[in-house]
Amino acid sequence: MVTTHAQLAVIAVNRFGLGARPGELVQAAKDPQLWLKNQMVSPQFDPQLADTKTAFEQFSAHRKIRGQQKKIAKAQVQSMILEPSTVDQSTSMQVMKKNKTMAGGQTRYAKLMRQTQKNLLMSGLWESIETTQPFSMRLLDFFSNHFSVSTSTAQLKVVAPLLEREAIAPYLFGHFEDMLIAVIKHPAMLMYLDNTRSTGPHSKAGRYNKKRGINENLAREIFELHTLGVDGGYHIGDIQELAKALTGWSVSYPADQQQEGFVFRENLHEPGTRIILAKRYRHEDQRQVEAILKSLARHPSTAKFLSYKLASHFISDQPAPTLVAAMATRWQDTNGNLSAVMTTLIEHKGSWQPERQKFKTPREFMVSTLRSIGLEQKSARGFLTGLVYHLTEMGQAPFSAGSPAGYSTYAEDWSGSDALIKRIDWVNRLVAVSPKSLLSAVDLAQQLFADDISERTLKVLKGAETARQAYTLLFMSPEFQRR
Amino acid sequence: MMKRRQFLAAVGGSMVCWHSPNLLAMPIKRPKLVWVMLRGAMDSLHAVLPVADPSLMDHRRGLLKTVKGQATPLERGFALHPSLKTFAELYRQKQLLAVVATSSGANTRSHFRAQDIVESGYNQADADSGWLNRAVEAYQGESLAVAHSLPISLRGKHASQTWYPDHFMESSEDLYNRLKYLYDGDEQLLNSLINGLETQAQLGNMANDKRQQKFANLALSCGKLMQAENGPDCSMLELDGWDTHQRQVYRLDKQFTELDKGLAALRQGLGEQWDNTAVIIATEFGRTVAENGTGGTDHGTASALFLAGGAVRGGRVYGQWPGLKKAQLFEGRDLMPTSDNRQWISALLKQHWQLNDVQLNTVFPQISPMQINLIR
Repeated sequence: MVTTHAQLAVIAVNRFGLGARPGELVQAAKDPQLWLKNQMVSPQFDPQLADTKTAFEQFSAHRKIRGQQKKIAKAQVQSMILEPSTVDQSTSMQVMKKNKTMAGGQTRYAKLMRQTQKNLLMSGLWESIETTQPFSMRLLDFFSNHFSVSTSTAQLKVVAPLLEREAIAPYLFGHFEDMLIAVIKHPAMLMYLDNTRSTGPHSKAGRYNKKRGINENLAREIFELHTLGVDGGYHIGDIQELAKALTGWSVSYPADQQQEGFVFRENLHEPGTRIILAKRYRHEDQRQVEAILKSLARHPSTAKFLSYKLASHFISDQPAPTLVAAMATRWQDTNGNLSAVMTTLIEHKGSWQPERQKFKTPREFMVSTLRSIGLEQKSARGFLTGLVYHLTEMGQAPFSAGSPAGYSTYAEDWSGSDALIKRIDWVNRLVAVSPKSLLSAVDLAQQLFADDISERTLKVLKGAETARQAYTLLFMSPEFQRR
Repeated sequence: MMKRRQFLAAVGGSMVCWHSPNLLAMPIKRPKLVWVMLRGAMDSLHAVLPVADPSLMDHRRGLLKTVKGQATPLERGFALHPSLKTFAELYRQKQLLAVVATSSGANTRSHFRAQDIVESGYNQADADSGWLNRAVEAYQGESLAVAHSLPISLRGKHASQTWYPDHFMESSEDLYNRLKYLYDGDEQLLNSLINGLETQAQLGNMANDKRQQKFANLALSCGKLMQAENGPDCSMLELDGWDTHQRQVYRLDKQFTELDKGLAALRQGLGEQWDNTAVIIATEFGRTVAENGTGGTDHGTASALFLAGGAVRGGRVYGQWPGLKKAQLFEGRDLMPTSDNRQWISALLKQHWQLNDVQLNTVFPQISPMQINLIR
C-alpha cells in the first residue's frame, strides 16, 4: 500500500501528536517529519502557577495550624479532666474562641491547597489541548507516566503535579540520566516512594535509634520501573545496595531549614562503598546515588526497556522489533540522548505504517476531541470546568494511577465495554454544550483525517439525524478512537 | 438476556459470545463463584496471625501492639485481625476458611508481574488468557468483571462483561444503533459496545441508586447482579491499597474494614444465592516477616488465601505451617510457601463446578487439586 503525503501528515498529527487542531494538518503536510522535529524543545508552562516552594509553604502553614489545634484541644481536655473546678467560664470561652480562629486558618490553607491542585491539573490538561508542540507534550505525558506519582497524601496533592514541570520538562530532549536524577531528587518522588525517612542502620540516626531502618521501595522501583525493567538482569542485592545509597535523600520543609525541596541528610545516610551490578561506588554523599543513576541510565537493559516502552507508547502495542532495536542502539551510542532517540523514532519506517494501531487512552481521547473543536480555556464554561472529574470517571484521573507503574497504554485496558459507554456519554454531553457555529462533522473529519477515512464512517456522518449527533459519531468512530 | 441473544443472532457469528444451549434445562440454583483480588500484596501475618508461633513477637513487636489480645481465635493457634468482623462471624458459622503459607506461584517480588501471573494462572504471565476465563468457559457459564476494563483474570476466549458505576447521563437508543452500524467490521469496538449496553440494561436503575464507588457498594451491586435471574455465574472484584511499606497498623485497619464490609455487602446482595456461593479472596504475594524501619513491611513471598460463602465447608484453617524461625524463612526473610493457591482453587472448581481433570488442566496446567473437601 502506497502511503501518500497527506496520509503521512495524518499519522504525524494523530500518532505522534495529540490530534489535529484546526489548520494543523495543512501545516504538517508540508513536511511531516520536519514538522515533528521542529517541536523538539522543552515545553514552557504558565509562570503564574505554583511551584514546589509555594506548595510547601501552603502545606507547612496548614500543618502548623493543625498541630496547634491538636495541642490546644489536648490541653483543653486535660485541664478539664485534672482540675474541673479551676476551669471557669472565661478561660473555656477563651480556649473555644482561639480554637475557632485556628479552625478558620486550617480551612483557609486546606482550601488554598485544593485550589492550587485544581489549577495545576486543569492547566496540565489545557496546555495539552492548546499546545502548538503536541509531539513534545505527548513525550512529556509519556515520561510523566513513566515516573508515575500519585496524590496519595495531602501534601502530594499539590506536589505530585509539579514533578513533570520541574524535573521532566527541562530534560525532555536532553540526556535521560539528567532527567532521572532530577526526578529521583524531586520531593514528589521521594515522598511518594517513602524514601524521606529511610535510615541506614550504621548512620548516626540509625545507631541512635535502632527502630529506624531502610525502606527499599524507591530503590526497587528505580530498577523495575524507571531503568532496567523487571527482566533487566539485576538482583535483590542490587536493590538493597541502592536502597542503602539512597538513605539520606530526603525532603526539607521550611520548618526544618531555610530551603524547600531536596535535602541530603547526612545523619541518615548509610556510610560505605556500594556495589551495584558489579560496579563500586565510593562517594560518601549524594554524589554516590548520582553516579549510580548515571550508570543505570546508560545500561543496555535501560536502553532496551525504554526504547520498547517509547515505541509501544507512540506507535503500536506491538512495535516492530527493528524499530525498537534501532532506538536502543541510538540510545547506547549517545548515552541516552533523548533527542537522538526520538529522531530515530521519527525517521524509522516502522513508525509510519498506515494502520492505526494505538487505542487512545481516556486522556488522549479527551484532549484530541477538544483540540479538534479548537476550544480554548477561556471559552470553557459549565461542563468544561469538570474535565478533571470526567477523566476520573473514565478511569484515568491525573496523578492517581495508584501505582508507580503508571497507567497502561494498551488497548485491552481502555477498550472495555464500560469504558466505551463512558466515552459515548461524555461526547454526548460535550457536543450538547459546545458552541453552535461549528463546521459540519464531514468537514471536520476532512480537517482531521484528510481522505484517510472509511466509506462507512463518511456514510454514517452524512446520514446522522442532527449535526450534533454527527459530531458524536465522528468522535466515536474507529478512526478517531485509534491513532 | 433474551434481547441480547436475539441481537447477537441478528449480527451473526462475527463475535465470540457465550452460548449456553442447555440454559432452559438448567436448574435454577447454579453454584456461584466470586473472585476477589487484593492488589498490592496483603500482609497475611497481619490478617491471620500465627499467635501460637513463639517467633512471631521477635519479628513484629511494633506491628502487633494494638492487635494483641483482640484478635479472634481460630483453630491450630491462629487468630483473625479484629477488624475482620464478618470474616469472624462466617468462620463461626463454618462458612469461611483460611489457608496459610500459600503462594501464588509467582516467583517474583514485583507487584505487576506477580498480579499478571496470578490472574493468568500460568507459571508465566499471559495477558490474553485468565484462569477464571478458562474455568467459566469449561463450565459454560457467564461472567462479570466489576471494573472499567476487563482484567486479565477474565480475558480469553469466553466473552465476559464489565460493569462499573457511572455518573454520566444515558445516551439515546438511536445513537447506539448508529454506532453499532458504524462498528460493523470492528470487532473490538462492536463487542465492547454490545456488552456495555447489555450490562446497562440489565442493571436498570441500580447504578443510579448507589453512586459511590466504595468497595462495599461495588460488592453489593455485584451480588445483586449475580442473584438476578440468569445473572452471571461468576464475577471478579478488586480491592487495591495493600502495599503497606509504611504505617501498616493504621492502613491495614482501614483496609481490613473495607474488605470486611465488602464481604458483608456481597452476602447481602446475593441474598439466598449466598448459600450456593463460594468466594475466593487472594493476593499476589505476602510481605516480609520482619517489620521494616518505617512501621511497615516489604515485598515477600507466601501469603494467605480465604474461601468464604454458604457453599464453603468452613470453620477451618488449612495449610502446613512452615514456622517463623530465621532458618525456616524463605531466603531468610519471607514466609515459606507450603502450597500453591492454584491447588486450592483447583479443588474448589472440581467440587463446586464439577470440572473434570482434563478441564482443570486447561485452567491450571500441571497443578494437582488438593484432596480436601472444601465444599459442603
